[in-house]
Amino acid sequence: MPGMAQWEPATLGSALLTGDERIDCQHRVLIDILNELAARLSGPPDPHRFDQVTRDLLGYVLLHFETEEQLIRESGYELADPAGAHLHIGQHRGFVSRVLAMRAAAATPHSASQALLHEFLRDWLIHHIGTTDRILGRFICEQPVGR
Amino acid sequence: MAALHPPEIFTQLTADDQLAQFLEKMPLGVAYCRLVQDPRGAPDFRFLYANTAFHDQVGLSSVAGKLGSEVDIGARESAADRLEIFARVATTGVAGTFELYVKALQHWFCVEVFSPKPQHFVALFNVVTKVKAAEAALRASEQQFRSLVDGAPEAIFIQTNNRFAYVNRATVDLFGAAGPEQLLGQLVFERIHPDNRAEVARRIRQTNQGQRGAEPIDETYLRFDGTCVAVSVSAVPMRYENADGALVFVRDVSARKQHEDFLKEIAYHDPHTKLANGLLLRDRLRQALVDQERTGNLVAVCHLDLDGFKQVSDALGHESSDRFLLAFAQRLRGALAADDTAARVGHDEFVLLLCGHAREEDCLEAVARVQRAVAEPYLDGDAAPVHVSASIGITLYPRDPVDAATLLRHAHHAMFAAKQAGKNRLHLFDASSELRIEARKATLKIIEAALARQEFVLHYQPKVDCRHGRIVGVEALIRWQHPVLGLQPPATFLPLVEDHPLALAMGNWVIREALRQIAQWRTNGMDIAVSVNAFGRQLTESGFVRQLRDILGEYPAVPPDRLQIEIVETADLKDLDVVRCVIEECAAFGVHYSLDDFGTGYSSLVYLRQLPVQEIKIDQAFVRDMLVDGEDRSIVDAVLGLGRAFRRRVVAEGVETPAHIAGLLDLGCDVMQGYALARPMAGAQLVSWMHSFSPDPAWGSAPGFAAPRPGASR
Repeated sequence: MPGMAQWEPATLGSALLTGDERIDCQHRVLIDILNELAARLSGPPDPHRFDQVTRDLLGYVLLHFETEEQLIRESGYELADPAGAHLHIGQHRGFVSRVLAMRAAAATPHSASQALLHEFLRDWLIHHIGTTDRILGRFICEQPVGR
Repeated sequence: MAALHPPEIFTQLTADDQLAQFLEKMPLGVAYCRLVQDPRGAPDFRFLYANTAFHDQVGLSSVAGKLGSEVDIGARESAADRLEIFARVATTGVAGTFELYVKALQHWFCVEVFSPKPQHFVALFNVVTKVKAAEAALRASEQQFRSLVDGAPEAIFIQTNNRFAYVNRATVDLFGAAGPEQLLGQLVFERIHPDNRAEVARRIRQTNQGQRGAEPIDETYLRFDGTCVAVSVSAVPMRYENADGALVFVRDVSARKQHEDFLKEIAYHDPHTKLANGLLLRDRLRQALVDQERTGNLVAVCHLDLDGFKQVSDALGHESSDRFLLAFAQRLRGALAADDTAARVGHDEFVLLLCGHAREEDCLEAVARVQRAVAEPYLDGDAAPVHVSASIGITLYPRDPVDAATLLRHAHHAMFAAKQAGKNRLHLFDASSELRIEARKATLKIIEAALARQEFVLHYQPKVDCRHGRIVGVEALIRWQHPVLGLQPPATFLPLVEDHPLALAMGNWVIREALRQIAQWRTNGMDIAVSVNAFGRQLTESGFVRQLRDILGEYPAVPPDRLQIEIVETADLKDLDVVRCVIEECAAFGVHYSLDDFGTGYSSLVYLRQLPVQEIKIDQAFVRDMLVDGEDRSIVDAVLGLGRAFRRRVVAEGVETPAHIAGLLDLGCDVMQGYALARPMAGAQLVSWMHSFSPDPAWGSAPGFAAPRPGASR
C-alpha cells in the first residue's frame, strides 16, 4: 500500500497535551493503538490482526470516553459550557458509530477500507485531542484544586 | 632649709579657713607641688601643700616643703616615671592620669594630675583598690577560661567574617597546623571539604538569622597535610572583638565514621561479592529517577540472570563456585561505568543500573558490552575454563514511565522473555504493549463491574412469519445501559469479552434474564419464544449443559422449548464434535439451536451437515443487497434450498424495506427479522407492539398466504 509507507508514528506532542494527567495518559495509549493499527495496515491485509487492533481500540475508547465524560460532568464543564460539552460528547458518539461501521465494512478486509479506517482514526484522534480535549483540559486545570 | 620659699598658696590657704577646712576634710588625697631642681641640679618637685587625706593615704606626716625625691610613698612603680608625668602636666598644662600601687598599704590609687599654673601641678589621689581587685579577678578568670579552652581536648575556634579569629591547641592539632598563626585570619571555608561547603554556608546563614545554636552536623575538614578528617561540628553565635561570629565546637569522629562505614558496608552490600544489595539498589534507583529529570538521560534497569548456573555450580563444587561468583562480580563491575550500579539480588541474579546514556542504542550497546564481558571464559588455576552466559531483561525509564518497584518488575519480566528466546539474549521491555495490556485489564474490570451492577439489558426483536402473518418468536439482543456513555450496542463491548472468561458469566446472565422475561410475559398471558446468542466458547466449556439445566430449573414455569440458542460458525473445526454433542443433549430436554450469520464462514456446509440445528439465519449482508446484487440473491436462494433439503427453518435477517419482504416471499422465505418489521425493543414495549401487530395486506398477495392471527406467538 504505497500511501501507508510514509506513515510517521504519531506522538503525543505538546500540541496534543490537555494538561490533565489522567486524560493525557489515556491519550498516550490511544495514539499507541493508532500507531500499531498503522503498522498493521502497511502490510498485507490481515483480517485477524485488523479485528484485534480495532477491538482494542473500541475497548479502550470505552474506558477513555467514560473517563472524559465523567470529567465533563464532575468538573462543572457541562454546566459552564453546555454547547461545548454537547459537541464533545457528540464527537465521542460519532467516533464509536464510525468505527463500528468501518469494522463491519472491513469484516472482509480489502486495502481501501482499511486505509480509510486508518485515515479517519488518525484525523479524528488528532483533531479531537488537539481541539475538543484541550478545551476540556484547560477548563479542568483552571478549576480550584479539590473540585 | 634656705631653699624653702614661702609658698603663695600657703598664705591664701591659711587666710581662708573655709577653703583650708574644705581641703583638709576632703576624702581625696591632694598634693600641690612645683617643679624644682634638686641640690645636684636634677629635676624634682617640691610639695607646697598636702592635705590630711594625702598624709593618711601614704602614711606620712608633713610633707609640705619637702622634695619629691625625699618622700618615699612606698610605690611599686618607679618614681622617675611619676616625675615625668608631673613634669609634662606642669609644663604643658594638659591633665594626666596614672595608677599607682602602694605595697606597704596594699592600696591602688588612681592619680589625676592637672596644672593650675605653669611649673605647678596638683595631684589628686583616689583609692581604687576594690575596683582593681575586681578587675584582677576578672582577668584571672578570663585567663582561667582561656587556658581551659586552650587546653581542651576538643577543637574549639571562633570565626568572625568567615575567618579564624581564635583557635585552641586542639584546633591547631586537628588541622595539623604548625601553630595558631597558620590558621588565624585564614578563611574557614578553605579548610572544609568542597562537598560540604554549600551545606555549611547554609548553616552559617541559619545561625546568623536564627541566632541560635545549630545541631551538630557531620563535615569533612581538610588538614594541612592534604588528608581529610571526619568531624562533627556544632556552633553558637558569638560576638568576638567587636565582630559577629560563631563559637565552633569540632569533634573528630573519624573512628565513629569508620565504624559507621563498616556497618553501612554490611547493610548495603552483598557480603560475598561486595556488590550492592537490594536495599542499596532501591536507594540508587530512586536517586537515579530523581536525577533523570535533571540529566535527561535514560535510566536503564537491567535484570541479569546466569544461564544454567545450577549445572555450572554443581560441576564446580561449593568453593570453586564461590570463587567463580567473585570473579563474575568483578567482571560485571569492570564492565560498568563508575556511576553505574551492579547489585546482587539473588544467588545468580543481578540488577544493573546504567544512567549515563541519552539514546536507546547507546544503552543497549552498553548492556551488550556487559553481556559480552561476562561471557568470556573464566580461568581458575589449572581447572578447566568455565563458560557461562547471561540473559538480560532491560527496561528504560522514562520510556517506561512507572515507579522504581514497577521498573524492577518490568526488567524481571523482560529477563524471562530473554530466557524464553534462548540463552545469552537481551530483551527490551515493551512499555507500550504493557500499557495496552493494563488498559485492556481495566476495560474488562469495568465490564465485570457493570455486569454485577445489572447495567446490561436485553432488547427483543420479533421474528415474523410473513407468509402466515404471525410472530414466531423474538431474538434477545444485549445492550449496555452505560451510566455515562448511554446505551451501548453489543458491537462496542462483546468483542472485548468473547475471548475472556467473562464471556461465560455474561452468557449465563443473558440466558437467565431471557428466562426471567419469558416467565414474566407468561404471567401476563403472553407465550413468547426467545432466542439468545451464545459465545462460541460458552458451548465448548465443560459443564455448559448442566449449567443450562440448572438455570432452566430456576424457572420451572418456562417450558424449555421456549428457549432457543443462536450460535455462529467458529473457525475452530475441532470443537465441532463437542458442539454437536451439546446440541444433541439439549434437544433431549427441548432446547433447540439456530445457526446465525449463515453463509459468511468458510465451511457453512460442513456446519450444516454436522450440527443438528433447528434453524439457520441468513446473514443480513446477503439479504440487504439481494435486491441489487444478483450474486447475493443467488446465495439467499441457495440457503433457502439448503434449508428445505436439510429440513431446517430459514430466517432472513436484515429485512429493511417492504421490497425485501416481497422479494423474500417470492423466493419462498417465510420467516424474517429486520427494521422493516420491528426494531429491537425493551420487554415491556414488546407487549404493546404485539398487541398492535397486524400483518401487511401486501404480504397476502404472495403465494400461500394464510389468514393472520394477531397476537399469536407461534
